[in-house]
Amino acid sequence: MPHSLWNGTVAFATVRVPVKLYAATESKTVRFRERHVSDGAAIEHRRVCIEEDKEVPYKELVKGVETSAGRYVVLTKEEIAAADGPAARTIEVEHFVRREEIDPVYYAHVYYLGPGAHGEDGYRLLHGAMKRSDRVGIGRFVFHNKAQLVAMRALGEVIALHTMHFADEIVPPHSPDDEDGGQQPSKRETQVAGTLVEQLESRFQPHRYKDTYRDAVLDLIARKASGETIEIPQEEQETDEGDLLAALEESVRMHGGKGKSGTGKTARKRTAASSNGSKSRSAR
Amino acid sequence: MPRPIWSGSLSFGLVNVPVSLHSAVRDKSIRFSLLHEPDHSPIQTRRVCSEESEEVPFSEIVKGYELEDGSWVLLTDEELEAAAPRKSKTIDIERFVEEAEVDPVYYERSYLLTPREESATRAYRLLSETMGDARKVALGRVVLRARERLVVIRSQGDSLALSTMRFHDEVRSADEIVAEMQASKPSRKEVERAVAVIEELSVPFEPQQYHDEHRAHLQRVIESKQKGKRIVAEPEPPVEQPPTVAPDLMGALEESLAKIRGEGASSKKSASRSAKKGSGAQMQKSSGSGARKPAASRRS
Repeated sequence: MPHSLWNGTVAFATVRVPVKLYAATESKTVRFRERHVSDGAAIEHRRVCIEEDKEVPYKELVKGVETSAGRYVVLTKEEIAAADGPAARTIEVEHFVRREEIDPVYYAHVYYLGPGAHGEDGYRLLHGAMKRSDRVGIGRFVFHNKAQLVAMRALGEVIALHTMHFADEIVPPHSPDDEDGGQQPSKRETQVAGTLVEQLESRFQPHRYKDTYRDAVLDLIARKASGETIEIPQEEQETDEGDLLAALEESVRMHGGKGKSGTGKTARKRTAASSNGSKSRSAR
Repeated sequence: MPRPIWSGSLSFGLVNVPVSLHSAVRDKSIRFSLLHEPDHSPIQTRRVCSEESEEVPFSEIVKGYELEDGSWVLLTDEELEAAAPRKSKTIDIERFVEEAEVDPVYYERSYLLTPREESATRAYRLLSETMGDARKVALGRVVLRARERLVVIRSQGDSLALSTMRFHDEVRSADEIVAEMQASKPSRKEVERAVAVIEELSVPFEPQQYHDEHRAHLQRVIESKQKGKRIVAEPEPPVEQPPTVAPDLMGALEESLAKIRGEGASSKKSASRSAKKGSGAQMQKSSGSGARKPAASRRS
C-alpha cells in the first residue's frame, strides 16, 4: 500500500467522508548531485550567519518575513501553524463545476484520494455521484502550511485531487495586438494551415510518448563512465522565417497524399512523431 | 510582461515562428527567510567542498551521478545538453488532438507564448486562429532547462498558451488504492440523492471568487507582530475523532438537500450549519460573493 501523505475529511454538504491522500505522480527525471569539478568531492550546503560568518546549527534557525529592507518579523512554527485552522483537517467542497470549464493553467499538483477509516461508503458515494453527474468538486484545505484550492473528480475507480493556483496567481494572457499591429494572415494561409492541422490530427495516446531524453542522459552517463569524450555540439543557427505561405504549402505536400490520418500508422506520421530534428526545415 | 524564461521558435510543418516563453503562474505565497535566532541576522547558504572545506564557486560545480559500484560520473551542463535528442531552441509540433482527450493528470506547469518580433506576429496569429477554429490543441516537444518536455499548446483567444506535461510513466497507478478498498456499493437511491446535492451546488467555474484566505490571515499575523503585538495562537480546534461506525449517508444527504433547497426558497445566506449528528459542515461558506445560488433548475 502506498504511503498516505495526509489523513482528513472531505465535507460535501452535510456528508463527511474520511479520506487519505496519496501521491499520484513520481518524477522519473535522472537525479544528479552537486560535485566539485577539481576533486569530485561532494558539495555540502552550509547555513552561515552572515554577521558572524559561522555555520549555524539547525536549532538556532528561525523563520522570518522581510517587511522592509533588512527588517524581519520572526514567526514561530506555532504562529505559522495557527493560521492553518481547521482547514488543515477538512477539505470543504464548496461547489461543483464542469471539468471543461477549468482552464489547464490552474492545475498544479495531482494526488489520489482513497477512503479513510469507515469512509468506504461515503467515498464510493461521492465518487459515483461525481461520475454520474460528470461534475468536479471545488474545495479548499490547508496542506503544507499553504491554502490549496482543489478540484476533485472521479478518475477510473478513484477520486483524483488536483491542487490549483488561485486566480490572482495567474498571469493574464498576452495578445499580440496589445503592442504591435502586425499583419493578419491571408485567407489562403488560413486555409492551408487548416489543412496541415487536419493532416496532423490524431488521438491523444499518452503511453506513446516516451521520455527519450531520460534514456539519452543515462546513455551519456554510461559513455562517460567508459572513458569516452563527449562532443559538444555547435550552437544552432536559427532558420529564417521566409515565405509563410510557401512553407505551409510545402508542409502540406510533405504530409499529404496519405489521406486524413488518425491511425498514426503511416510512415510519415512516424517520422513526425520520432523526429529528432533531421527533418528538413525551410531555410528559404 | 515578465522576462522570458526561454526564447526559440515554434515549428509547425516547415513554418518556424520565433517565440518567447513566459511563466503563466506567479506564486504569491508569503516567503520566509531563515534567520539566526540570537540576533535575527540573515542566513546564507554556502556551497562548500566536503574535502577541502572551502566555499566553491558555481563555475566549479558539476553534476554527479553515482554508479552502482559507488563511483561517480561527472557531467558538465554542456555535456548534458549534448544528450538532448533534438534542438534545444525549437518547440516541435508533432500532432493536433482534442483538448478534452488530454486528461488533466498530465498537466504540469503553464506558460504563455508570445511572438518574439513583429515579423513573427502573422505566423503566430495564423497558428492561434487555425487551432482555435479547428478546436484542437497541439502536442509537441521542447528542451527546457536541459530536460526534454512533452508540451500541449492551446489557443486562448488570440494568444497561445503552453503547458508542460508529465510523461505517462510518471503517473502512478491507483490499483493499490482500489485493491485496499472494501467492497461497498452505494444504493441507487443514495447515488440519486448525492447527484441531486451536486446539481444543487453546481455553478459555473469562476476562479476569481476563491481567495487565499490563509495567505491573508498570515499577512495579518505578520502585520500585528510587526506592530509589537503578541500573537496568541488560537486554541486548537478539537481534533475530529475518526468515526467508529460508517455514517448514515442517506440521512445526511436528505438533510443536505432540505437545507440547500430551504435556503434557496427563503433566499437566506445565513450560516447553514448542521447542528445535528455533530457533523458541523458548512455549505457555500466563504465564497465571498454573497449568496451564489446554485442552478436549482438543474435538479432532477
